[in-house]
Amino acid sequence: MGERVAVIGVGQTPGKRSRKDVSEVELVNEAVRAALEDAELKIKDIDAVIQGNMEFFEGTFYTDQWLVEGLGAYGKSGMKVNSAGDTGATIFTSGVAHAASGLFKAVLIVGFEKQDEGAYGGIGMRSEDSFFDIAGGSGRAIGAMWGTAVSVLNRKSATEELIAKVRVKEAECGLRNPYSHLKLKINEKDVLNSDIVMWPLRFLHICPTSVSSCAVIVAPEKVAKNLSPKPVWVKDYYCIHSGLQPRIGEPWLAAGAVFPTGPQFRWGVEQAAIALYKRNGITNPRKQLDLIESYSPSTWHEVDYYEAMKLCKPGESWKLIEEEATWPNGDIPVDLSGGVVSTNAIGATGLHRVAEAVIQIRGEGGERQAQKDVNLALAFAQGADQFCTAALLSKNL
Amino acid sequence: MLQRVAIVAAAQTKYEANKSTLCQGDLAWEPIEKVLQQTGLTYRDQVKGGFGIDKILTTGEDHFVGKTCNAFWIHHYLGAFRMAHDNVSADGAFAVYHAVIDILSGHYDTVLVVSWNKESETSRPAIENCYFDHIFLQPLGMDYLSASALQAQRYMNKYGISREQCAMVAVRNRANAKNNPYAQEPLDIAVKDVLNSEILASPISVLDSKPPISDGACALLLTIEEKAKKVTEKPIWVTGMGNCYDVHYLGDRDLADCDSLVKAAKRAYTMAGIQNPLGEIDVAEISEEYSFQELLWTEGLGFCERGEGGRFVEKGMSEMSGKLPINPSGGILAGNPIGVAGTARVAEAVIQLRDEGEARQVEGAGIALAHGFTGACGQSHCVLILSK
Amino acid sequence: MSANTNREDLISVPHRITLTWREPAGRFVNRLFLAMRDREELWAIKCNSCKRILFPPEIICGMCKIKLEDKEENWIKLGNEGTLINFYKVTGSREVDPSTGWHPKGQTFNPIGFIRPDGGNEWTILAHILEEEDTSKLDAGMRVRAVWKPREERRGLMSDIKFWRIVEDKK
Repeated sequence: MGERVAVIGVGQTPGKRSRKDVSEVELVNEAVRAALEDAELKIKDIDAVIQGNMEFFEGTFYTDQWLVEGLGAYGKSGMKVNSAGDTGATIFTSGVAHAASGLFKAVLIVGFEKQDEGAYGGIGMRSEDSFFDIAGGSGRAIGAMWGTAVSVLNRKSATEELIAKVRVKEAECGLRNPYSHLKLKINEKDVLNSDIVMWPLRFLHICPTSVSSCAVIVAPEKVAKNLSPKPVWVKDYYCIHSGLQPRIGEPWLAAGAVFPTGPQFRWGVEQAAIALYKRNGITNPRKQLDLIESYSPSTWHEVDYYEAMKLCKPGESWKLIEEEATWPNGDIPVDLSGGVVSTNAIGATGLHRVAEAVIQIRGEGGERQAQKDVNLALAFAQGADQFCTAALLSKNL
Repeated sequence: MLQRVAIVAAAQTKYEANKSTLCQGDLAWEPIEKVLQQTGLTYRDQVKGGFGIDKILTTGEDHFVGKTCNAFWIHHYLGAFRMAHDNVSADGAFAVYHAVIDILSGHYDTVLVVSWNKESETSRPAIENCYFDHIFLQPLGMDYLSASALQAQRYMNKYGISREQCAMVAVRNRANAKNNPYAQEPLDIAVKDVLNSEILASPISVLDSKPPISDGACALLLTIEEKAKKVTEKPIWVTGMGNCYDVHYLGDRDLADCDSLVKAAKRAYTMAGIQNPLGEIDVAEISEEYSFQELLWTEGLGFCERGEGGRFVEKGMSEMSGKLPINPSGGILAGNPIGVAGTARVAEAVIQLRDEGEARQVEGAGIALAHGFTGACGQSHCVLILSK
Repeated sequence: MSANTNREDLISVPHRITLTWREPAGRFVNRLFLAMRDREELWAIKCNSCKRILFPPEIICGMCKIKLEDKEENWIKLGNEGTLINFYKVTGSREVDPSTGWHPKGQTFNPIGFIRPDGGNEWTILAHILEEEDTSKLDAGMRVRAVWKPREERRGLMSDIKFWRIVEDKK
């Protein structure tokens, strides 16, 4: 069995549409310095660095090699790891594995995305099977989101009005998070009237493309207890793929929209939740979890995930919304950071979920802090609607 | 090491310049199928449990695939449904390192490492250009060849390495490749042929270089000690490993040095308890894309003193009959795609230790070294020590 | 020299990658594409273990993780007509012209349909372009038919089918 691991430092840069004032090297360095400061460590205390991003977006080949000085990785062990949208969480699990191996004292994990540098739209189009995803302007990520949205409506899990209500919650949380990219003062009418991108998806439902970096430092138990007054323990993590075929025509990808007898929501997220709950004695997630940071690239996803994460029965998300159970003062707050609809720098996003959960557990969330004690949090990321990487974080060992 | 980790299966495809009938998925599946057949294993049932593959690591890179999330497009070929899968965006040796980490972490016990690449589908030099820092070096149009030529000039100048000595490396690797059924381009050449071949970027000539394009795939399976013996009688143990980053900007380091290799090797040797690499290692599979690099890496690995790489090869130390045979497989110089190269080195080292090398077997090999690097001129290196 | 700069003073280093990719279709898909090009035929393959009928044909079943044998009885010929399971239409301003990677003004896209060609089962879904631009005229469950390009324009690609046309009820 490996060592138990704790998060001992987190650092984030504020999400922005564009950061022309910094190179990628400088961008990651900002997050790294913030994490070191938070952990009260110096770069020499780090002995391994794990970095991740979606290289095609920036047009960088083996990105970590260029970023080495910004990461502080010179002379250290490490490598670049990625997956899809869940890259941020993937590198987190990679860093945790390095710490758990017993070979390292302190592992720095850095995710970023600097999409103002690449033709994101064009790259998004290249996120399609070359032969079978007939583009027609569909852009794969949006097409996959459509499936979730339609499933939510088909299951009667929420109405468009309730989705608008959740979107306003997400926006208000974003306003309270200094690192959030979008700072939107919107009301439900604004959401209901926003442009239709692909019915029922509206412009305001969908995440932005952001530039940000996030850095997290993890350490094995003995080191963590020595170095940090406020370690947050990584209780468990789980990674699962639901990929049967990668194409937009893949039945489970579009979930209930196309495959009525199959899984109705993001199957990977559900399976990750089930596995983590089983392994960790969670039989009533709504009661036993104190907070969730979800990877919801659209408001529809957040609502879909309420059921995937077993916070309520299938088709009953509307109850949670009406009760405002997932609001900051609710019994199971979700995405008090503002979530992915407020900031989405893909390589960093999964890691921001972990960082925000850690901040909440420590009680350092300031204006965005949950109104209840946060002892056990679930942070997860999903990618390409077919990957899910999830972590359970806790205040106590 | 806290726990013994074994490589229990290794498989490769033949490396070729253009596998035009195979798509990426077809290619990746070939060594996977062989690994599954060799071990009789399949993927673990995540609900029922049991012995099976519980994680997959790939070594893809988006630019070669032409799509973001490179491995995702062939998920079904990888067997990734219901599985954990991550992509190590580096040379394959680093993925093997990560597989060991995953097992040592206690979180997984059986990891499949799959590397594949079809350089024939796009332009490798154009992608290599994207490795260089976007502000200063990339706009110069650099690629690995031009950067390596700079390194060769510096290294040869500093230590008086000759083109003849470099050529000997090419001659030996291409000749060794004749014994490797997977090799892309075995050749019968002499030093003068290398010296007379067309210069690509001085002092590197065509025959000093790997073939420009290579397609191929390689897969390895790693597991914990208790399970290793269930699937093979010849588990090969990873007894030491290390990797290390150097600086990026070419001018920030003396290219005649390879500090990150020295450190990576030291980490691996310390873990494996190796104090005299030349004496204790029986065979080495190391990654060089250009002949001079083998000499430089030989020094960095501590097989000889700094600056002695040329004399090392002149004395025949790395020949099949020499003190420390290097690259019985022919190495990258006989043709390996980027990313797959390191995984192939580990696979070949495993073949040696299992005594399955046939015509390329080093007699009585008990301890092997496998090496890979990521980044032009060897910015990051990864060294693994394997033992019977 | 002060490091403070105005936004106008921020220099960006321009960079363009020109990369083309030539992907072989793969062993089974190549056969599908030749059948499409030469005979206007759609072919799927069946996994005898889970019974999924897969379009496009795969060399392994992603669910069962077994090789799909290249035997005639495993190949299923699909019809040129099928059922429209669902569809979507991109109408919003976020969309991008795939050939340039930028947001063009005034560009519209036909709806994309998820179609089950006859002969397939619930796992057989083909995403393709629908001829009918007006989504109010589309319904899940409608019958649609592939409209093929003439032989000389067909290349052995999915675009050999121009789009799928609603089959009018013969009432």
